[in-house]
Amino acid sequence: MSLVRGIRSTSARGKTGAPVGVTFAALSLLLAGLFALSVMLGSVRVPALTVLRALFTGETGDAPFTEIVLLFRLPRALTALLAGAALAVSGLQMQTLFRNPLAGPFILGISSGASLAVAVVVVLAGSAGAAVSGLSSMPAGMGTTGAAFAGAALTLFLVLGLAGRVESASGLLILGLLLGYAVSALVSVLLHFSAAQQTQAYVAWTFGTFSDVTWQEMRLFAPLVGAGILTAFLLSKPLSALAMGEAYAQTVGVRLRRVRYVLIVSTALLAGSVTAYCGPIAFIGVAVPHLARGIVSGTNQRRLFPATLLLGGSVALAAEIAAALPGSQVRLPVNAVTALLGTPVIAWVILRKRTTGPMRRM
Amino acid sequence: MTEWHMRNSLEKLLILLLVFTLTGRAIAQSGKPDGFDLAQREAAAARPQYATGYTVSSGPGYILATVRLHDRTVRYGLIDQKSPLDSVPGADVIIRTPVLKIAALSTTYIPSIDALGELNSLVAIDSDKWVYSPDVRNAARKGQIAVVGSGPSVNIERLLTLQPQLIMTYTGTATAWDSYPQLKEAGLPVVLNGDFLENSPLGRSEWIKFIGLFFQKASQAEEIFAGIAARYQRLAARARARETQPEVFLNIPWGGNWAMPGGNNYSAVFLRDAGADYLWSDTETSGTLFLDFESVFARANDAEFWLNPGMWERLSDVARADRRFTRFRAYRLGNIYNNNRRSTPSGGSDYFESGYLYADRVLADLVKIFHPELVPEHRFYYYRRLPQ
Repeated sequence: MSLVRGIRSTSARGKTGAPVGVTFAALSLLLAGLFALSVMLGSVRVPALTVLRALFTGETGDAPFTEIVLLFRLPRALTALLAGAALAVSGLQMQTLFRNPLAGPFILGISSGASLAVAVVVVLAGSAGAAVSGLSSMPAGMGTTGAAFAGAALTLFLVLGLAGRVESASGLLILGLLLGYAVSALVSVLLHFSAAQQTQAYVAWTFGTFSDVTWQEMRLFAPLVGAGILTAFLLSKPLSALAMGEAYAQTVGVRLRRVRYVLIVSTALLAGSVTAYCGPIAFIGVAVPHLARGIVSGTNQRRLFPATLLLGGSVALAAEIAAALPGSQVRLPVNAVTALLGTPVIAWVILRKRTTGPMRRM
Repeated sequence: MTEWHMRNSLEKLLILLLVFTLTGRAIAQSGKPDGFDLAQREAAAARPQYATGYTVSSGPGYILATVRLHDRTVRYGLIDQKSPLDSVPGADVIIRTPVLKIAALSTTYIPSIDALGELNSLVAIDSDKWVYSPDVRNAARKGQIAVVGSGPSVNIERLLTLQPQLIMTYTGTATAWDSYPQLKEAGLPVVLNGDFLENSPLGRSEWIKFIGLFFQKASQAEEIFAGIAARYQRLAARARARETQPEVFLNIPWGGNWAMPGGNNYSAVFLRDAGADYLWSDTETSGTLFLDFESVFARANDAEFWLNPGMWERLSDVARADRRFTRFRAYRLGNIYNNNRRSTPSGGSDYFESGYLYADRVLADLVKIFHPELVPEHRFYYYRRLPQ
């Protein structure tokens, strides 16, 4: 499938001080370091040597420690990495497509659709025999994953249908926003008529978590995210052109409508699977592309893309480490941590580089 | 200020004197057992031994029941329907007893109302979705018991037309979620019940005596409760004395967090009294701990028993929800028990209904799980072992 007909490299040479290679080596190192740290740290204190032994030999002689490392921490770290990368990449795609710095992976209503489906499932499940106790508990992930998928997919088809009828990207953007509002309204109506425990269960889902994905679920989650990222990577060339404006993109041979379709599908794949397995993780998708633009300046998607990917994984891992409050038995909601820790960082990047990213062109 | 105080107390004294003479005359006229004695007897019967959320005192012809809920204290003055009294010193709310029409805005009051033979007085409940009692569900379906909703969306107009003499409800720490402010605003006779805040099973059960006061059946309630408490204590003493106290943990995680009752929570007290070693009994809180899955696994992977796992019906549900659950020893032993033996498809659970009153029955179930040899005759009532 050729999305671009004879496009020449639209390389806008970056103005970074450091050579590109060094920047990417540093970013990769950061990601690897945070991944290692995330496996090392947790609410249970496991000696570093035991962690290494578990990772490399699969046996430590210390039964719960082996399992904690291999069954809890490793999938959790991997989930954070994949989810962070997926959200950041799909955020970058949406920001470029809509040429709007506030766009993110959920701008098309993907997470709203997933939320509605989850709210329906939580309310239905509650009435199908959930406890009335204050500690109402539903089997982790049971039902919500499938529901979120279905909701995201339905929204996707709706958006795709709309995309065929709407010429301008901004029209599509507004329709996506409207869809989101309508769905949120339905969710509030649904929750209004449900018991407090069900509302609680829904709220717990909206907090977001990286620790619900087991190896079994990883078998579906990882390929889905992988496929989404690959598609996004293939799109980075036409996206570079799109970043210069739709008219320009057309003159260099980008098939606008087709690119838009594929973009929407890959974003839905990325944002939808993350929402299904981790809940609606906010912030990363909107903020990380800005962070990436601060580090590798320019609109060249082929450079921005890997930077966003690496940074997305790193930010999610850092948030996961902080959320676990190493040494304590409790855990904070991931969504709270990403926003709390991320906001000052992003603000600093934006203030430092006043002429960053798409804002310069807006 | 002081002058006002003096006048106020003088007034009170005068009223009291007036009341004395009036009630005295009324009693003399009717020749029936006097209201003074009844109030005293009722108050004495309702005085709690285990519950910490309410206190009872009495005066001439009246009962003063004080409820403490979070940081709120409300004093209820109870006066006989026929008594000429119209105020009770110190009371915030006056309720005429015995009440003939009651609205129960929590399922936990239903078993007590039922045990006191007063189901016919029940005119309204908050929701029929969460009710287990077949009698109440039937009556609600036939429209004999109104469903008025709860929280801020409680149907005030319906309650105003039903004219219950008593609406029993509860409040949380955030009253924005409660119906209490609306009910009070509407001038309805609302009484708070703090059963859910009690940290001991018998404390929760003992609220039947508080409910009994409003039907003038506190003595009967005391009799029912005394039986429950005696059976509970006898069994608990035997279970606690067992040499082996098997390890146990509760619940399942949700959204990455595992809600585990603290060591002073009533669930923890139940487990201790059933002769089990609850793995979080060393924690101080009476609330709930929100733990990381990993830390629960570290502590509980070797425990023998696992109780109250959400709404699981069978062992295959456990494996399907999260493969990691199968790593717990309790799973491999098949020792997972849930308290949903008696529940309705719409979400009613008798464990959270009659289990509130009959703590002895819950305890017998638990003892059967941990020390079956102590209760060979007992058959599971609320609990069941998850089948394959």
